[in-house]
Amino acid sequence: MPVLLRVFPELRTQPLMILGERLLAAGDAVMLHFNTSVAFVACVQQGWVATGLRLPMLQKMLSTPTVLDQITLQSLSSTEAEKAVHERFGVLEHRMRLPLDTLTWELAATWFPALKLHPHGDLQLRLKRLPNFTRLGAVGPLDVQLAAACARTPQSMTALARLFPGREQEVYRFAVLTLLSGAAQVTPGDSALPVAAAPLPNDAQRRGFFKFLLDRLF
Amino acid sequence: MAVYKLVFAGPVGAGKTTAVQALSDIEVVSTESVATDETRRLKRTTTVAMDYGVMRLDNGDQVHLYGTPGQKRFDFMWEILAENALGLVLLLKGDAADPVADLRTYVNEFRSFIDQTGLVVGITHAEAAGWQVRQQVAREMQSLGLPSAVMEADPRSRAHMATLVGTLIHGLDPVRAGAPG
Repeated sequence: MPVLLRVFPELRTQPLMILGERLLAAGDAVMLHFNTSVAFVACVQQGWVATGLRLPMLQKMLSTPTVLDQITLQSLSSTEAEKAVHERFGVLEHRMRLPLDTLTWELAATWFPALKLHPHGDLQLRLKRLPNFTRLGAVGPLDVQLAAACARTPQSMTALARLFPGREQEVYRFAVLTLLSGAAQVTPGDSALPVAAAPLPNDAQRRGFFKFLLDRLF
Repeated sequence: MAVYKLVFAGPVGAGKTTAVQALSDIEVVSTESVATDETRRLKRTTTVAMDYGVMRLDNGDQVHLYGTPGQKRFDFMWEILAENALGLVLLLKGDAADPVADLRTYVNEFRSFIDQTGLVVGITHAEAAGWQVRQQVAREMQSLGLPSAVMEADPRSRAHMATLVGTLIHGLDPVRAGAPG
């Protein structure tokens, strides 16, 4: 998160970012109280969040600048977090638990396209796992393409932005969302790495085929 | 006109036949047979040789879609169907006893093919599975030295299947695959 904030300082004022920093500082797991009610239990270490609140409500809550004044956090051990979820949701526990990466992506995606990003420097992105694209609301073919590139080998965000002229904001958005959701990590190195491409037989013909296939799919 | 091939594999009941149906432009040719062995506990009929569908592209090219039989005793078909294919779409049943073990089985069987082409994994029946299955499968893919191209997917959804296949295609050639012209 510090690297992300260094490159995109405009994110500093987003309530979700501030809350995220507080969550990370709170330890393995945390219970979040909004006013006097429990809003959710989260275990960052294991990558889940349990909440009875629906996504639109969480989105609305975390887009309100004053929300942070009404939130208190209670640090828990992983065992205490499990117990808290069980006590709170009982037999519904299974349905109330969501993957933290998917939820974080959906919450942060609401910043865009209103938020324009102006990177201060570059990032080398490497995907640890693909975002759960089929369950995410705001993704497009470019996200899939960028993910495929970053899953293979670390990619320079700046180099990727150059590859897609006119779509730089989408590339920056992808970098922010994958890093914030934990799907990607920043790897060391300042210089742009070449983008990998598999050696393919009948390259030109096959490239044309890929394009027609992708057009057909999306 | 060029003809390309995509293979859908996975255990019994993962949704391979449905996935091929979701993408095919023709009525899928299916070799379903009444299940007679332990498969019967999972579903009434099962694919015994292959499922076959076709996607027709605007430039005249065709993508032939093959669903492999899920039962291990028909595994001789796996290699035949995978020959010269573009890559593998592996569907894992999220609520199976051990989806990670299923992943290992299929990666092991198709390893040389995957290394030469590409792999994308769809976790089906995800609602009945735990939130953690996708992350467990992703970690196992990493430990097997594969890009963690895994996501939850409903085989009945054309959009989900398109995202899986699109991911596979971009994985073969991440930048140029989607390049204009």
